[in-house]
Amino acid sequence: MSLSATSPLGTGPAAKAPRAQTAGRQEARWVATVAVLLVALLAYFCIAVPDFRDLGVSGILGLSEQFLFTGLIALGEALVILTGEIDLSTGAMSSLSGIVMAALWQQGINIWLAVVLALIISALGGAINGLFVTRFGIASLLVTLGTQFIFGSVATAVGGNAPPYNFPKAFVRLAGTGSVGPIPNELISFAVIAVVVWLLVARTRYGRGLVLIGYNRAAARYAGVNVQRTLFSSFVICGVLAGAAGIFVSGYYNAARDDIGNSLLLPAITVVVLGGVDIFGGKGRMSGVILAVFLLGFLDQGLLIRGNSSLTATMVEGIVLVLCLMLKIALDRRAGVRLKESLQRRFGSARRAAVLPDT
Amino acid sequence: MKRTKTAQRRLVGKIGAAVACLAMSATTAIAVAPASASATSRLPTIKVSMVPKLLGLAVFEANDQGAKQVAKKLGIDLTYTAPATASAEGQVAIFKAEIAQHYNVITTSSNDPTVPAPVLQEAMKAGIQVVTYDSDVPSARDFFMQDTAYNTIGSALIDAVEKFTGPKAQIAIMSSTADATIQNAWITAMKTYIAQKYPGLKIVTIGYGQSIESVSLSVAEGIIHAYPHLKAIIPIDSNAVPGTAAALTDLHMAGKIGDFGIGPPKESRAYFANGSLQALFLWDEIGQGKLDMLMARLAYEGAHGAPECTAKTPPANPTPSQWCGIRTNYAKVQSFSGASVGLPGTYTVSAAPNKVTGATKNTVIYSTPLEFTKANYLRYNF
Repeated sequence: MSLSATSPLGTGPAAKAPRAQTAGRQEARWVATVAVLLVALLAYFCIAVPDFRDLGVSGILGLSEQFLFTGLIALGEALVILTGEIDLSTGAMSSLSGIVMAALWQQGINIWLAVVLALIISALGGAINGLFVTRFGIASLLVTLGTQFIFGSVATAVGGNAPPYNFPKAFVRLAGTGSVGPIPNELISFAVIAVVVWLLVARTRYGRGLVLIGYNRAAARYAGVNVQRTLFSSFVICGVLAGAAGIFVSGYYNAARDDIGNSLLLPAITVVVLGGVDIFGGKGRMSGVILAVFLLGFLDQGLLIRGNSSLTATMVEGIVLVLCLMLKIALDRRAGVRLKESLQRRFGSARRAAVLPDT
Repeated sequence: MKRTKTAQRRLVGKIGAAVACLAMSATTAIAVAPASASATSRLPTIKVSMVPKLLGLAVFEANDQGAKQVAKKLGIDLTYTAPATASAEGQVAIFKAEIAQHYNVITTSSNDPTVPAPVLQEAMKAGIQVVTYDSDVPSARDFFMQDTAYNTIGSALIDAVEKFTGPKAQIAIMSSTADATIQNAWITAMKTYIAQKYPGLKIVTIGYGQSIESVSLSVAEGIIHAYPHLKAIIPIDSNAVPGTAAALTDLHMAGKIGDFGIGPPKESRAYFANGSLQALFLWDEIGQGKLDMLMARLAYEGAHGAPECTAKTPPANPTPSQWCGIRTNYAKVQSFSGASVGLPGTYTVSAAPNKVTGATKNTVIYSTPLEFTKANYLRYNF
């Protein structure tokens, strides 16, 4: 991806091409690995867990309703992490969005209009994050750590003592528990959004800019990427996707709650990392993230159906994450990228930036 | 579609049971304890789950302990599972998996009255009976077991307080938050009882500890400073109990101001020992787990009765040996005996909401309050 990221922009240093090529190959290989793991996991559950098999296609697809909100947050989070930043406020943003929608609806506003307004609020929340990161240069970790508390508190204040529930049937069906044949509506919505985000990252100049910013911010600037604007917009998109996740959560549970998104943040970041996105940015593919949504989600649901306790399920997920990352590092090593080098790329970028103009 | 298939499968599997049932109803007239024991062992095994708010809380573990003691006798294959933290979403994920695993009955103490409703409704549509205990999901369950009636715990508390303070005294209440439904219901019950029986008692203030022990402590200290003539303080939230006792200990008021609360005794053992806590009221959590299992069995039998088992009128207090008789007439059952799980007395299924006790429709009130004092607190492990 880095190769395709640099060459169309026309300014990538020629010396970088071979390394970028290996990076691209590694990324493709990791996506394939996640896909194989997903197929293997589903095969295992279908063979070894009768209750899972008995669900049939529609039942198994229906399980995805449980984890697609996490997936939506992960899509937005992936954009931000690709740039080398992070957004810790997404969970709280989901809660806020759901609560705002519900409160507006309770005030007599049409539910669909309330959805749109909630998404606008989410975009504004993302814009606040983006503004602090780009204009004031505060580390995104700190900014979003702070806004997380702000969004959460506002959600609690708006929600009040008895947050609304029992939304109109049409909304609950579309955003929550309805389905078209065997395919849950939530899965259809997720698929559409995932394809759009995937195209955005993999097929547009904007997406290549995102990755390049994460790879080397100075190089991105020299390559003509508007770093500030791209970073800012990645936070806005992340906010909107987190807000959308909040709407879907509220639809699925048919209730809004001020802390409903809290439990979504860490799984979402886990999905992004499991999907092969470098936590320091600059590397990774959306296709990997999308597959990882299903890998982690089905792992969780499958283990519960297998009769494991939720404690065991969480523990296995942790083990799988660590093993996958070890596997990824082993694969990357074999492909010739050393840990030292990736650390240098991360922390030595300023020095390299100073050298770059001469090369 | 799927539902009818499952029902059919169950029905076919039930023929054996139905035959046994007929034999049983013939002997009900002379049914005594040993007969009913052998009868229950012939009941088809059902899969029941117990899903409390979270794992590791002493009161819920005590429920589990009680449930395990009677599960086998009731023909119940019991699974005890819950999220690691008190999250409604975590419970929903578990319910979803349990629907796939074809559980017969799900029993739960819910973290939220609304969030699990859609998935529990889905479970009910799939032919699973839902019994809630401790914390209800009113729109998505067959039966709810309420811990205790609001009015009885209110009067038990006030009686104990009055015994300590005498008929004329200033007292204060420590609650959790201003919008806590159950705590507010208890406060109303106490006020009503005071107005009726001890008009000399005066509630001077209600403090809110926000369900946090340290906040409860400082709020309680504030109250003790502000009301020098205070005779008793009543913490009615499980974090307010240790917070209030700690405040009394800190200010050297242990035993001078009476401390009577609602909560489990184990985590307050130190305060019973140092005299800063006179009494706590709760209910026997182990027995509650037993009744939960009995209600799970009854809910299942009520919904899946074989048509062969028809009795025109259900017995007033059906024991397990008489379940056959209530199978097809379950809706009419108004009370049942706890004897089969070793609980005294009979339990009534409420037909309509009751403002005084707090019961809603199809609610069974588990217990009268159990009092823990310095004399008995070490006997209870929750």
